[in-house]
Order: sequence, then C-alpha cells, then structure tokens
Amino acid sequence: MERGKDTQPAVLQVENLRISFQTTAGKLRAVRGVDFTLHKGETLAIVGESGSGKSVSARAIAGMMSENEKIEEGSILYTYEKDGSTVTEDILKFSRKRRAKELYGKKIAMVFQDPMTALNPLLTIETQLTEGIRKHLSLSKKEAYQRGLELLAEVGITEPALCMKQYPYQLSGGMRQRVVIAIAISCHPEILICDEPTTALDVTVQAKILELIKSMQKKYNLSVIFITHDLGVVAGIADYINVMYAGKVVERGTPDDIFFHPRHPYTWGLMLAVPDMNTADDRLYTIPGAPPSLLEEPVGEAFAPRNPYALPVDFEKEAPLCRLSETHEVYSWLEQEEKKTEMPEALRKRIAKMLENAV
Amino acid sequence: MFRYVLKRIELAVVTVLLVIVILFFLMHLMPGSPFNGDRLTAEQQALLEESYGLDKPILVQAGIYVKNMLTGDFGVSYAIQQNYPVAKFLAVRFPVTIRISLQAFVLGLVLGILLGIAAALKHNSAVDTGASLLSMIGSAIPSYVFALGLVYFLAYKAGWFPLTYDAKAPFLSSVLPTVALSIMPMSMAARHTRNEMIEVMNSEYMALAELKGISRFRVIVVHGLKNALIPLITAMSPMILTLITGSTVVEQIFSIPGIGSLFINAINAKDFNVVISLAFIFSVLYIGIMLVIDLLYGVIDPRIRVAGGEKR
Amino acid sequence: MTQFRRNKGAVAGAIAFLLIILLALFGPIVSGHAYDDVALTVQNLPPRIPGLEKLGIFDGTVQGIDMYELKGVSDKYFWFGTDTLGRDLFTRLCYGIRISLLIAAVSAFLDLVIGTTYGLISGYYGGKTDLIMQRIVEIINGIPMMVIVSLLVVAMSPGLLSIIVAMSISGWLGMSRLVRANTLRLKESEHVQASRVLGTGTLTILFREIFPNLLSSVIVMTMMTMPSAIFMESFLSFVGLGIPAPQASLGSLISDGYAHMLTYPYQMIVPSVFFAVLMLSMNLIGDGLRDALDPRQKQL
Repeated sequence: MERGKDTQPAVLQVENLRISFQTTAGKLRAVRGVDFTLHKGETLAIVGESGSGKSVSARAIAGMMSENEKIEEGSILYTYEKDGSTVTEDILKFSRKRRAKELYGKKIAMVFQDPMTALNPLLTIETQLTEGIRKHLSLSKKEAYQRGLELLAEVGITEPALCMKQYPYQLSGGMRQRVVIAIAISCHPEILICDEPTTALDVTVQAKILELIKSMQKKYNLSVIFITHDLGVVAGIADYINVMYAGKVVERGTPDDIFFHPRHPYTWGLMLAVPDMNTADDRLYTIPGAPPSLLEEPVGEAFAPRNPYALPVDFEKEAPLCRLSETHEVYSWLEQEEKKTEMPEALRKRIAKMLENAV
Repeated sequence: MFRYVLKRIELAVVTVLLVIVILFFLMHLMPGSPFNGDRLTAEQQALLEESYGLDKPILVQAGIYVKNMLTGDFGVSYAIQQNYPVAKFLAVRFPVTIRISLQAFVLGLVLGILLGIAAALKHNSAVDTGASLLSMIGSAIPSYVFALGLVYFLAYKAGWFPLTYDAKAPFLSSVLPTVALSIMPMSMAARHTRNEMIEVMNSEYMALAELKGISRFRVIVVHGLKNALIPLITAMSPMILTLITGSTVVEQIFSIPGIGSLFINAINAKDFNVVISLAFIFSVLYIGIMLVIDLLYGVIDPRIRVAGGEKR
Repeated sequence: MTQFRRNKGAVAGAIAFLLIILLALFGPIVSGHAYDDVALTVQNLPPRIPGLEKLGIFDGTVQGIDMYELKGVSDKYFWFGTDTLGRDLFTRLCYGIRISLLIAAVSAFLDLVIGTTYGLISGYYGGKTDLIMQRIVEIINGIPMMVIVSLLVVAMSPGLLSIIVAMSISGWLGMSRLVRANTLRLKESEHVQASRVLGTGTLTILFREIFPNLLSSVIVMTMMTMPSAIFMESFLSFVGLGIPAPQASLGSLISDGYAHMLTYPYQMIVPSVFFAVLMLSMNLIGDGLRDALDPRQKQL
C-alpha cells in the first residue's frame, strides 16, 4: 500500500506471517497471517493489547524466537545494500549464524521494554556499550570509548564519562533506557525495533524517551517499528499505524486515518477506552469480554464475540481487506454493507473535540 | 567494599577465637587426664600435672591454651607418639592433604562447570539428561563410596593404579583419591552451572547481547557465565565442608599420610591433644576458606561491594 | 502432588525408598536368621539366593567352588552371604538400614524442632535478639560438623544416643536459616500485620500465621537433611566411632566389609549398593518435593 508522496521505498515487507507456540496446553496460534510494510525513515506503530501478537511479530523480524516457537508460514523481505547493489531477501530463512553476522547490530537493532533487565548487571556501561562498536566498526578500545561518550551525550546523559564507569543498578530507569537506545544505534542500524520501550517508565520520562527516539530517527534516517498498547504514545510519533487484535491486523492507516476516521469496531473500542478528562461520563469505557485464547483457531472474526456491531457473517468467515483510501485499509465485513455503520456517538464527539482543540 | 572486607575478617577472627575456647572446654570434658595410661602414683601424677600447668585454674589454662594455639604451639601427642610435637606431625601431613583436596576441588569445579555449560547449551538433549543424571548420582552418594568402588575396580581388579598412596609416585597414586573426591564438587558445580546458565540464557540482557551481533562465544562467556557463576560461589561453602569430611575417609582408604587419617588414628588412640589440635586446624581451614569465598563474592558481584555486604 | 508424580526421578526415588523400608522392616522375619547369630562354622560365605542360583549368580560359589558345600552347610541359604563372624549379612543389612533410618529420622526431627523454633524466634523478634542469635549460628557454622560430631562422640563414648546428640548440635543450622529467612519475609505480609493489629499473641501468630506458610519449605529441607545425617553416621562408623558391635548400621557394615574388600568383596559391595541407593532415593524425593511444593526454588 502507498503511504504518500514523500515516502521512501519499502525496507521491510512482512507477508502472511504465521507463528505458533508449542505449549503444555496445546498449540498457541499467536500470529495468524499478518502483513505489514515498513518504509525507510518512517515510524511504523503496531498497536494492540497484550496477546495481540504484536511483540511476537516484531521479534520475529529481529530473529528472536523462543525454543517452542515455530514459524508456520510467511516471509519477511528485507531490502538492503549488499556489496554495492540492492538486494531483497527473506530474512526468516536466514540461519542464526547468518543473522548474527549480517543483521544484528549492523542492520537491525532492538530496544526492549524493561530497561531493568535488558542490561547485564555485572558489566559496566562501558563494556556493554563498546563491545558492539568494537566488533562492527573495528575501532580500538580507545576509539570505541570515545564513540561511546559521544553516543551517551547524544542520548541525553549528562555525565557520559561517569556513566561509562557505572553499573546498571546505579542508573535510574530513564537513564538505563537511554543507554539501551545508545547501544541500539551505536552501529548505525537501518531498522530499529522498539518493543514497548516506555511502558516501564514514569510518564514524564516517557515523553523524553519518545522525543529521543524521534530525534535519533530523524538524524540517522532510521526505520522504526514501534510496538505499544498505548494510543497516546502512538499519537506523538507514528507515521503509520497498524492495529492488531488476536494475531491479525484489523486496520491500518496514517495517524489521521486512525484517529479521525477509524473504521474498525475494535479501533473504536480502543479509542474510547482511553480515559478522557473532557467527557461528562462517570464510567470508564471498556471493551466487554476478553481476548480469545488462541489455542484454537477462531472461526470467522476473532473480535466478533465482543463486537457490538458484529454481523452474522463475522462469526463464520474472516473479513476481507477493504481499501478505504490510498493509505487507509480495514479488514471488516461492515464495509460490504450498503449502509455505512457509523462510529459510536461518544467517539464522534471526542474526535470533534480533538479537531477543535487542534485548530 | 572495604567495610565488607573488614566485616568478614572480623567475623572470621572472632569465630576462630571462640572455636579455640570451645575446643578447650571440650578437651576438659574428655574422660580422664592425659596421663591415665601410664602407671603413676597419685603423687607422680600430681607432679606431672603441675609441670604441664594442668593444676592452674581453668580460666588461666584457657588463656594459656588460646595463646599456644594461636602461636602454633599445639602441645605434644600423648598416645600416637609420646611427646612428639603435634606441630611436627602437621608439618609433614598437612601439605599432602591440602594438595589432594585442592586437586580434587579444582578438577571437580572445572569439569563440573564445563559439563554444566554443555548441558545448558544443549538443553533438553541427551547430553543434558545424561549430565543431570550423573550429577544427581554424584552429589547424592558420598565420596568414599566412589573411592571404594574406584579402589576395587581400577586398582585391585584392573591394576591400573596403585592401591595406596606412595610418596615415591605422588602423582599416579594420587589420581584415584583425587578423582573420588572430585566427583562431589563436579556434580554440584555441573548442576548449579547448568541451572543458572539456563536461567541466564533466557534473560533479556542475553538477548540484547546477542542482538548486538557479537560472537556467540563472547555472549556466553562474558555475559552469561559471570552471572551464572555467582550462585555457584554460594554453593561452594557447603562443598568445601563435604570435601574436608570426605577427604578424611578417603585418606583412610588410600592410606594417605594426611591430616585426615591422622585425625582418625588420633581418635581411635584417644590421643586427645592431637584430636583437639586437628579439630582446630580443620576449623581454621574451614573458616578461612569461607572468608575467601565471601571476599570472592564481593569481587565478582559489584552490587555487593557498594551495598556494604548486607546480602547474606 | 501431581507435579511430584510427574517427576519420574522423584517417583522412582520414592518407590526405591519404600522398598528399602519394607525390606528393613520385614526382611529379618523372612530370612529366618538373627543379626547377631555368631557361628564360626559358616563364616565368610558368599551370597546364595534360592531361585536365582539356578541362573548362575548368587549361587554361593567363589570362583567355581561351592563354599557352602565346602563348609558342609548346603542346606542353608544366606541371601547376602555371611561376615567374618558367620552372621547373616542380609539380616544385618536390614537391621543396619533400620538403625540408619532411625538415626536419620530422629536427627531430622530434632533439626526440625530446634531449627524451626530458633529460626522463628530469631526472625520474628529481629533486632538485638536476632543479631545475637545469628552470631551464634555463624560461629557454630564455622566449626565443621565433622569436627563437632567426632569430638562429642569421643567425649561421650560411642553409641546411638551420643551420635544423635552430636548430630543435633549443628544439624539444625540450615533449617534455622531457612526458617528465619522465610519468617523475615512473612513477618511483613499483610495477614501477619493484621493479626498483630488485632492484638493476637505472639505465639499464636507464629504458629498459626507464619508456620503453615513455611511448611512446604520445611518439609523439603527435612527431606534433604536426612541423607546428610545418614552420611554423618556412616562417616563415624567408618572412622570407628559409630554404632558399637554387635549392632549394625549401614556405615559399620561398609566399614567391616572394607576390611575384607580384597578377599570377600561382596561384604562391602552389598551394603555400599544399598547405601548408595538409599541416599540417591532420598535425594530424588527431596528434589521432587521441592519442585512440587516450592516452585520458586525450582531446580533440576
């Protein structure tokens, strides 16, 4: 799908990805046929609640898989420069060795959710920061140290030299996450995958980290995949959004599309569930019910049981893809209907207010 | 860090002193006086006791005793070799025991760690199950059972190794006892290393380390091993204790002239002075090693250094 | 429970353990001999088991010579052979197991009682009491158990009682540490605090609120200390400080057998095997219990 005129070419193309986990309770179908595309220099946000399959999909790109995880189907096509020419390869097929050699650090980097556990408690920041640099950029210890200092300053650490000597437990959560980001960008990767990087941080720190990621992206023309369940976070940084539920994408579009013209009932639910100080309601909206257990392949649309707008066909067949505009797509049976189903009144009011305030 | 070191040393010293005092009083609990065996008149006995200072009040004796022990004056043997200074016994036998115990410990630890890593890397494979089984057996069954087995099959039946320790062939004849003693530390090391490595490998920082694209070797060794070994250090102190106990019996089996067999002989001969002195030596050894382990702990885990050693 | 059953090792251990106990309890009745039947006419006979002897093993022969025939007692069966004094080893083994288990059980029980109480008090009261109590623990810990035990047994003259007393002196340390650690943790939990606010007496709190939560760890720990008690006893026997004759324990049997290892290997091999199996099975059970009851400590 296109994005807009200034979009750079696609860097990553995920096609029909199906991933399952072998658990003691049975086979868990975590990702059930997911497509999305990442373009160069853009921030792609993948939004969904816990269990939607967003993390699993992104981790598959990084090649980080558990022992009991299996790629059932699909491909992840990565377009990059190799020996002077542009090649496109299915990185799912890469062996672990090849991935470590060609992709990790150099092309793909990842920022994890919990900065407390992402850093090795027994090694200094210097060691952890410079080892990748020394390996990939072939710098000497001194040079790597210098580069490390620069990086730390870039990510906003006020006393880089002191920080280098410290151990992770001596840093605050925000600082740790900055270090993790520094490590991630240290070897100039093309793709940065951020798996809920701000969820474990205080709200004030969150904003700063998001800013940081955005500025890094601009500076290095990074392609970022940003995974989150928090719509508020998404609003600030996404260039394009994919909404996932129960292992599938249900709607995708630009922030404008999704926030002002959402079409999927699940997206409506998500938007309404964000507490809004301006509403007069005294009750918080939640989507009734719970996500389905993916031990069984759902029949029809997975969201149907919780969907107040569900049609009979939603319980029988999976919804087809509908192109609403150049950038906006949704998987919904509602679009086939003669009469357009309108979003809930409450939501329409909210959006109207948002637009008002924005002007 | 400094405070931590100081605290540990202080504890060790206090313990040693208290041990000496306790041992002293225990010695007095032992039935009879050292001179019961000889045929002496009551008068002669009293005279002898006076010359040995045994008639002084208890507390004074205790004080003298403490002083003696600390300066290495362990008195003389009463039964094994009349009037032979215990310290001389020790000088000859101590190094032997230390050598074999150290050999066993190092061998066991190194092999155990390697085995543990292999088992963790090939998690849930035949290697893993096999290693786990072996370590289970090795840690449950005391070392001297293995020693007996080894002696019977490899020394007696197969004749590959000498039956007993021979000072003229120190290396070859120390192989069997070393192996027997090493099985326990090896099993425990393997088990702990395996478990810890598996946990460590699942942690996020390992994933991040791998994502940096650095060599797998570096990931496992530099990032993983260090973290995995810390709990191993905690497990080492009970290991040392069992090693000391085990070496006593093993020395007996292989007729090794070390302090373990001396201890047993002294007990059987009711040579209390030797027994107590050796008890003291064992205690000091044990306390000393525990101190070293505690300090090692502080060196490897930076969190402990700064926290001042409050973790115990 | 189910998790324990799932653990194959633990189940195997439990079965083996039960079998050994049954053997110890009922063996002597079945064998028809007494453990102190000294009879020099039948000394040092190799094992002979009816039924199995048809297969060529346990047929009472040593290098082809039928020792039973030699001594003129072809009508007798000594299942595990006899020792130098002509006593039936099978029966002695059974009695030996009984004694070893008894020692293990009693010392484990004492460890439990002393260690738990000590740990509870130390952990619950905290402050100075705790500091002093813990210092004592550290100091006792500094003396190797072997030393304490040996010294006490020598001082008190060997025997069942002295062994048990000696082992109780330092055996409870591990238990008390475990209990104390857990008590410290549980002390701050809400239900304990609630009880305190209600004015419940300390003793009641300790035994009604805290102890039940410790139970699983305590059970596991007890199961794990039994093997070390048996080990300590066998060590003492080996050294000559154990159970005096004519009684037998696994350790003394091994020790006696060791003396004749080269000539009558079975005298040493049989008790050693049983000893090893006993230790192994207790460890397996202990591990299984730990995995089942205290998942936080889950290890192999």
